[in-house]
Amino acid sequence: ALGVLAGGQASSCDVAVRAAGVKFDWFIPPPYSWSALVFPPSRDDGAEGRNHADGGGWGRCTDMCPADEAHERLHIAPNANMQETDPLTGDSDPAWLVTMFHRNDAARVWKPSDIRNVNALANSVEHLLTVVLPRRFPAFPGGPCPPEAAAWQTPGDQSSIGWEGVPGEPPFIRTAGFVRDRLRQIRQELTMQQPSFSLAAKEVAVDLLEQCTRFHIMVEHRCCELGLRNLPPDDAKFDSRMNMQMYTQSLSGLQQLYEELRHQGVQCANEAEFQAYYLVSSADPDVLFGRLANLPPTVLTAPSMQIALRVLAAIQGGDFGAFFRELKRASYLMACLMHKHFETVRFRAIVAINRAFAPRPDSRVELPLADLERMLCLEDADEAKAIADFYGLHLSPSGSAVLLTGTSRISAKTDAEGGPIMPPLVCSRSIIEAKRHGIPVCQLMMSPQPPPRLLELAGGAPAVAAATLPSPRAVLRSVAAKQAAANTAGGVPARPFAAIPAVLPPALPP
Amino acid sequence: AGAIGRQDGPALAAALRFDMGNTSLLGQLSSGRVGLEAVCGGSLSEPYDEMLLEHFYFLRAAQEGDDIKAYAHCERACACFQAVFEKDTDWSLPALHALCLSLRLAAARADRALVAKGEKASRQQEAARTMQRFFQVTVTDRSALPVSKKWGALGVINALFKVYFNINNLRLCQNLIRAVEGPAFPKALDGQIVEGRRFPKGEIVTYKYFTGRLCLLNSDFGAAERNLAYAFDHCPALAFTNKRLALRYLVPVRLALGSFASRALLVKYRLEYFIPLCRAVHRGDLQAFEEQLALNQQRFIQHGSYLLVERSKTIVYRNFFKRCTELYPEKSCKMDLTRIQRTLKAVGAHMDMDEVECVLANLIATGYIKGYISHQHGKLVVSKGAPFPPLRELLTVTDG
Repeated sequence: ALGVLAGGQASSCDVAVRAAGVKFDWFIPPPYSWSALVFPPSRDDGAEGRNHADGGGWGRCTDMCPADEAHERLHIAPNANMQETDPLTGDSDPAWLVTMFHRNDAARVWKPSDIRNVNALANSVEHLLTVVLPRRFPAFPGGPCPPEAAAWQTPGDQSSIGWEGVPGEPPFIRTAGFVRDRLRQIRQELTMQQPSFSLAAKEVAVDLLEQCTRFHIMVEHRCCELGLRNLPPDDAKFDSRMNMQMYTQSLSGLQQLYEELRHQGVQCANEAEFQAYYLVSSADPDVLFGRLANLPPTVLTAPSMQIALRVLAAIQGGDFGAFFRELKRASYLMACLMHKHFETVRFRAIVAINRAFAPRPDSRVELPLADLERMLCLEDADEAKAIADFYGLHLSPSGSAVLLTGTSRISAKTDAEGGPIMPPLVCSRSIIEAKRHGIPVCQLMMSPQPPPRLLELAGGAPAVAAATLPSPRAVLRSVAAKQAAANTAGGVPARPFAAIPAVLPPALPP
Repeated sequence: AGAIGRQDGPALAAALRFDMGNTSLLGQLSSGRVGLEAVCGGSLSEPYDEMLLEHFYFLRAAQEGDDIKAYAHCERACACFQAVFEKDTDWSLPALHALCLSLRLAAARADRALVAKGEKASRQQEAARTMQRFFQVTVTDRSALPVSKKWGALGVINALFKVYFNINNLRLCQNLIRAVEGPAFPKALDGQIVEGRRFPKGEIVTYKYFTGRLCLLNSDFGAAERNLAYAFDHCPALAFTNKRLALRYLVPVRLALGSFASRALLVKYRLEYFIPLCRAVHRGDLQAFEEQLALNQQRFIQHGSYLLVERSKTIVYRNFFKRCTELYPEKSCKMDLTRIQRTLKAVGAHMDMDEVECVLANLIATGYIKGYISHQHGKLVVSKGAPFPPLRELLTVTDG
């Protein structure tokens, strides 16, 4: 275990030296980064400050975790997650700690030194989504490895619940739980300081909230088979209600910011993407259309909104053909949201097919399971059989087709008291998850184009060194850069601790 | 003052409304020469004196253009009125409605002023809360029905609907409807006379218009059509804007149910943008329908009727397939699905076979086409009789 912080800095230098020979295959540098920018602190004096709205927040912590909490979690009551260990030593490292979620009840007093400013918050989000999410154990061949990681190396019968089969990657649900908790604290700190943010800092907050929202959307689909509908209460690992709550919170925070920024003359570039998500995921269409009417025309005419309107129309009108056509063409995240409508849409589809494919109620018409699978975008024959069974349709003697009954009177199974049974959810691996194959998760989570404000602000400014403690991203980036340098026949060794500026297009005029 | 003394409701209401346009009164108020407090305190008893005072302040602030302050005074006037209204009989109902009107308009102006300043626009919400209190008083009145305050409830409900629709927060509308449909409410919603009294026709028409729109949002097209049709039919011909508003929603509802508004009607009420849309639906012209939908998308979203208009697509498909069958030889009831797919492609709708089967399955399952799909042989088989039942026989649109 590392000692006091100063000692930690010294040993991290050794770490960087040793890192020179190490390859982190799983780390891909993000498409853009806020770490090159530094926002000045706000003049506000803590939470009760006068909201000057002039800086990067009243928080004074510039690391991913305030010193007090780091000290407490490393020395007094050790409580560090596996994701907070240094990949080179395997020990918990203050540079890798991220603030845990602390409930903001009335008794809690937040000191400015405990709250991260907008720079640190941006660094934390980047760390969580670009380093933690893809991280493997061991981080490099022959590196330190926690004992439980042995179960995640080779696909076999002993694989843990939710392990997706990538050697060295923890089950996604585990990493997601950690990231969710840390993002929750980040969102809390953003909300606390929001009135004291300058306009530019608010745009950073928009980007961070957008990333949080995308994360929750991905988690909702990727972990859908691990919740209460699939596993007994004691084994259930995923809480869909809580995840959707986090999603709704970030989305509504985003919408408030969009409106605020619009009043100040700034139109956020990704607003259409998120209003489209809101459209597809919201519960009551009447309030929805009121909101839509207040959006600027540029947002309403954007392609993502048009897709969302088509999806909504397909759901409302029972047009399952249009719904599944849009599903195949949709982006990964939009498809994850559409997944939540699958049951309603498929129910109507089955009613229509059952009625329309048979001439009379008593004729025994067979529909091949393969066709049903294709028409309703089911995963495999098992899912097709399960859905037929759930709606009371029998299989043909050969077992490869479903017997249609020719009526529209189809009802879902109910339990002994007549209450609805909720069948297990099926993650759509072949269609929805397939959309993200080959794309690094940081690219999925971050904005498709680097935020205009970032390009504008970083255009002329020199690269600024990161915080005093070596930031984990910097260590990884330096190694990756060395990799790239070494690959291009003898490059220059990069400085291990400086924040390498994000890849930017040619500098814009200031 | 005389009006209050005589408990003459309409006169008080008239006096309140008259004040709004009385320029000389306004001039006197703004010049400040009249000692308002003395005037009010001297001639009226509590709390009317305070109410009138606040009312004068409200008029003055509105005159000066300070909408936010004007609203505050108006709200206080309403609070004063509330204090005495509970114990009073129903003579002051007209005054109540006049107050609701000025409160609603003042709140809307105040919110516009707040938005312009970049602040949160919450006055309409507060006005709604004030009016909810009025509503409670009217609806829980226990006097005998002929003299009950319940007869004033519909006016307050309509004012509340207008505010809720304006701020796009329709959650609380359901409570109002439930109260109207509840047992204690006079059953006079078709203009009948109950125990010697009736609701004014204007209030009934407004009520039906809003409940029609709410039905639309719940996809209850049958009820929506009935309510909106009532509103349109019973609205006096002179109230052109109101008739036009009712039509704005009635036309798409009827379109989704398969009945088309005549060109003459649409031209008369300046709803020409529906004409090409109706023609596309009538002819089963998919491409034109999509074009018209896209062209008017902004407008429909503003009106909150986009999803509703989109529902007419079912009728477009039905009419398209009807024309398809007319291309076939007389006796055959079996149509090749690949031919249908090619016909669709010819009009610009590129759909794979699953999608074609999906659309046909929906039309069959909802009764627009009598027949079935032979999936194995790839054919649509329609009944020999009337494969496309007349649309007016299928008055209800199922939710799919």
